Order: sequence, then structure tokens, then C-alpha cells
Amino acid sequence: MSLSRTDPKPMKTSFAHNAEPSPAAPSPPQIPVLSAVGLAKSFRTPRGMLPVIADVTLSVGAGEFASIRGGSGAGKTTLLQILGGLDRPDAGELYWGGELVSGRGNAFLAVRRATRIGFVFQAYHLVPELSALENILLAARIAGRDTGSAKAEALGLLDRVGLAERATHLPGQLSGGECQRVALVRALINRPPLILADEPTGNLDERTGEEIMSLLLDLTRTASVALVLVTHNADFASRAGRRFILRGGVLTLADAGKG
Amino acid sequence: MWSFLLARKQLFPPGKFPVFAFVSILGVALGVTALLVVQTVMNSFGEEHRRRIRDANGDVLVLTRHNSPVPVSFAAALAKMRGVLAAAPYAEDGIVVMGNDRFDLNLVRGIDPAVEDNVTPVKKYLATGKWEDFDDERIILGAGVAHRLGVRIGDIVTVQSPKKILAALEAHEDGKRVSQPKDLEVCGILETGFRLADEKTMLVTLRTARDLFDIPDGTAPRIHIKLRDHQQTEACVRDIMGAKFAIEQARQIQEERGDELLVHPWYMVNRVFLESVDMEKQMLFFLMFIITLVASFSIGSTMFSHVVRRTREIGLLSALGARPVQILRIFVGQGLFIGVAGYGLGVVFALLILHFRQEIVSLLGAQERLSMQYLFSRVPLHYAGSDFVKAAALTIILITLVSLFPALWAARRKPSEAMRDVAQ
Repeated sequence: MSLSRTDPKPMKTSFAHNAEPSPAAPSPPQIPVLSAVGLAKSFRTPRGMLPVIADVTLSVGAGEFASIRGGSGAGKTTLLQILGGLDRPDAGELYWGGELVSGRGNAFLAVRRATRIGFVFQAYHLVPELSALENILLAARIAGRDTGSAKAEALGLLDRVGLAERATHLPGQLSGGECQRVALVRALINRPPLILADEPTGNLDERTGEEIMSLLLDLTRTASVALVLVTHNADFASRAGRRFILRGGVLTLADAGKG
Repeated sequence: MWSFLLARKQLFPPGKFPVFAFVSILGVALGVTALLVVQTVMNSFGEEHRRRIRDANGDVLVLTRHNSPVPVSFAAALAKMRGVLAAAPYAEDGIVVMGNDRFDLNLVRGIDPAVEDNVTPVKKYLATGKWEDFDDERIILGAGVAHRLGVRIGDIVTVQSPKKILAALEAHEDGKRVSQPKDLEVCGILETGFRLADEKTMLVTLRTARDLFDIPDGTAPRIHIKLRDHQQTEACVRDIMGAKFAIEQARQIQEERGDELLVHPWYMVNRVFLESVDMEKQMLFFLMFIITLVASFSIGSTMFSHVVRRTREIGLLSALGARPVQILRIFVGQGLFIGVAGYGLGVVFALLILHFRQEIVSLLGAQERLSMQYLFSRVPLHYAGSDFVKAAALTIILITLVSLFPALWAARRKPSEAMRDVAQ
């Protein structure tokens, strides 16, 4: 079920991983960055168990872009949390880079998550007491990276998203779009092979949302990072290589997508 | 370490007044101030009482159970023992004193002027008069006694022992010759600042005391000893109890008078009083501990609110890959910082209050009560390192512990629950 990235022109950047192999070289078997088999999740309610996710099987390859659409309460966020190891499935197995992570402890998941998954949230969620640069470096520090090299990299990425001059600004001094750009850089700073984005444009106006989406796609494409996007926006979802719909807890492939 | 950096930034957010840190640190500081001030004042009172008891009685007291006299040479032998600075024989008994037609019944102490000051610092407390004038025809009075009798330096007071007054009454009835009271000139007024001493003290020479109480020449019923180091009191008592000449003296007293030689460390002399002072300090520490405990829970509650307000960040940190122990470290670190900073500030407040204690007592109009109830003219001050160490340990441990609970709550929070808050 692994599909290649729709955009044919990945750029070389400092994110060296996931570089496309030379056409002449034989392709080694690709290990999906994310793989889920038979995931199920129910919540206890006063009226009994409410199934939210039922038998979800999904595989996302390196550099791939997949979108998930669904109505409110369809379980999109819950699915994303399970895929990101923030919640535990009742059944099924979850693999990150071929490693079975479902059933492992919180500390183990946290350590793996720091380097393997970047999150982008609807409400940016920057630490208000930290500057833009410090917010980005926080993720690098949590991942145990050398602060010096991470700082140079963060400044480079801030420059790329047009915020070089605002590196020392606090989130309260930035606009919503600027905050989300900082959050994008934070998600990418540890060069994770996978980004999980939950409604990243939900709090932004149409024009800023478009800008953010373009930046997200550009940055992940450039870095050959796989992207799973949960969104209401049909246009953004349609740009994905694979488009899923979550309905009644069941994930179905909408169509073959572009390319 | 990023968790401590984040802890610091949360406590002191840039460009904002650190309300949470300010309130929490101030809360701890006030608790520590109260604890340290109460402990230091109680410790000072206790220490001052102990010092004055030692000043009045020496470090070790040698006496007999039924007031039998011991040779003065025994005091000389005691003075030569290891660790002993000086030993002075003395007598003490009740006496009736009259001056300006006023009577007073009090204890008088007969001392040897040549050696007494080596054991009890009489000269130091002589507020009026000259020590050199003190002889067999003169008396030194405590300021309170002099005030009650209305006498001053140069005035004459008449003294007689109650035993001799009773004997005189009987002799008079039998038509026998009666012992005459003794007239003594007041040559000094003592002011120790310790009301109990100033109200009671009367000093005559040992020879005069022998006349008054019919004590044989060359003897005295009591000997008090000053040590080079009063911490060695117990060792000195053991040494005396084991010394051959002391054992011989005890045997002699036993055989000749059927009496028992006793060796008491200074704290045994006023044991009940000192125990009550210590008990008072312990009780106040216990009460202050409860107050500090309540304050700690209040800070714990504030801390919990602080952590709950940070739920979104906790979820975010989990999403960024922070391990539960790292999240725990943020909030425990904050608690530890609040505890340490609060303790430091509390020490500063306490030192300030203690420095201006006399002014505060005057401002509160409590000077007279201090003198009447606690027998001090000034609030004494004796710092005890152990009080500060106890307060530091109590505060820092309590605050860290109470911050541990919200920190554990935060660290054990399921990332998805925090994420749901994040997703709100």
C-alpha cells in the first residue's frame, strides 16, 4: 500500500535522509515510516463503549503525503494521536520505521517520538515564555541534540519561512500565521521522517492558511519528510498523494490522488 | 538542562511580573521567618537562662545533702583538677534583712572575695560600688532588694538568720544572753538584667556567713566550680566522682556526719526549669511545624493550579518527546527553587527582625511584660546553627514534597488527555 510522493522534484537540503536513490542503483526494500495494522479504539461512555476507530490499517512510506478527512467527531484527532503514540489503541499494532511501538511504555514512546515524529497543531501551541527560536530549540533539546548545531539550523529554517528577524520575539508578539510558521520549523528541527499535522490551518484565515499549507508542503517535500495531514479543507486534502476518509471509525482510500 | 530552563522561564516569564513565583516565594519566606524568629527567640531565652544559671552557680556544684560543711581545702583540691578553671567555697541560707525600717526575707550567699569572681562574674554585674570595698563588715545587694529596702551605697542594713532569731526568742524567755543581729554597710548594687537574680541576691563574705549560720571555720557547705569548657561538664562530674580525694572526702562526711556528698552539673541544679524551657521551645517548634505544613499545602495547592494551567504545555512536551521524568523535573525543580529562594528570603527577613528585636518590643509596648514575665531587661539573642539547618531542611523538603504531587500528576498524565486539552 506504499505509494511514492506525488511531487517529482524533491530538493537537496541539509535534511539528508530520505534522499531519492540514484535511478541506476537498485532500490533497497523501503521500510514504511509509519505502519498501522488493525488499529481499534473505543471510549467508555455512560451508554456503553463507543467505537471511534475500527480496524484501521495504514502504511506511509518515506517522503509520502497522505491526507485524512472526516466530519467532526469522526475520530481524526484520536487516530492521529494513536499514530503519534500519544494514545494507545485497544487493538492493533503500530510500527514506526519498522519498529513495533504499540504496547511500549510512555518513556520509550517519548524518546522515539522526539526524533521520529514532528507534530503540527491547529492552535500552534508554542510555549508563551519562550521566544520563537527558543521554542524551536526546545524540541531539539528534548531530542538531546547539540544546541549549537540546532541553533544554526533553526535560524536557517526561520530564515526560510521569513521569520529570521523575529527569532527573539515571544509568541505573543507574533501573528497567528507567524506562530504556525514557527511551529512548522519546530516540527522539522529534529529532521523526523514523519510529520503529523492536525488541522494546521484551522485557526488561520484563507490567505494565511494557504501560505502555511504551501510552506508545510514545501518544507516536507524539500526535506523528503512524510506528511499525514488531518484537515477539513478539501482543497488541501486533494493535494495529497493518497487521500483517506474517516467515516464511522473506518478509514477508506478516497481515490488514487494526483500522480 | 532544558527542563530547568523551562522551569525558570515559567517562574520568571520575560516581560511579565512573576506573580506565581513572587507569591509562592513570599509565602515560603514568611513561614521561614516565623519559624526562625520563634526558634531563635526561644533558643535565645533558653541560652540566656542557661548562661545566667552558670553565671550564678558555676558549671559544677559540689554540696552535701543536709548542708554539712566540707573543708575549704577540698575546694583547693578540686581547683587543681584537669579542665577546672577555678573552684570557690560558699555558703547559702535564708536571712532576714532590715533597712529603713523595711524587712525582707531572702537568701544570702557567703562568698570568698579572693576567688569568687573566678567562678561567678560578680564584678561584671556590679553596677554601683567598688568590689575592693567588699569585706566582712559590708554587703552587696541585688538592685531589686536595694529598691525594696530603699537603701543605697553607704547605708546600713541589719541582718540575722531566722534560726538565730528563733534561738534569741527562746534565750530571751529563758533570760539567757542572745546573739545580736549584724549591721552591714551596703557597698555595692548588683544589676544582672535577670530580674529573678536582682530581686533575690545578697552577698556577704564567707566569714560573715559563718558567723550568721554557725559554720565552722575553714569550712563551707558548698563549692562551685568553673570549667575551662562548660561543654565538658559531664566529664568533669565523672572525674570528680572518680577522684580518690573526693571519694575519701565523701567517706569522711558519711562517717562523721552521716551525710552524703553530691556532685551536680549546672543543668541539674535547675533541671525542672531548664526542661520546661526546652519543652516550650519544642512545643513552639511543633506548632510552627504545623503552621509551616499548612502553608506548604497552600503552596502545593497554588502549585497544582499552576500545573493544571500548564496542561497544554505538558501535552505539547509529551508530543515533542519529553519523557515523564523530564516533565516531573520541571515542576519539582520549580518547587525546589521556590523552597530554596523562599528559605533564603525568610532568613533575610528573620535576621532583620531579630536585629531590630528591641525596637519591635518597644514599639509593641511589651518591654515591661518582658521584664516582669521573662525576667529580662533586653531580648537576648543567641543564634543556633541547628535552628537554621532544621528550618532549611523542613522548608525545602516540605515544599519539594508538596510540589511533587502536582508534578507526578503532570508526569503521569496520559499524553492523549493533555493533547485533547491542546486540541481544544
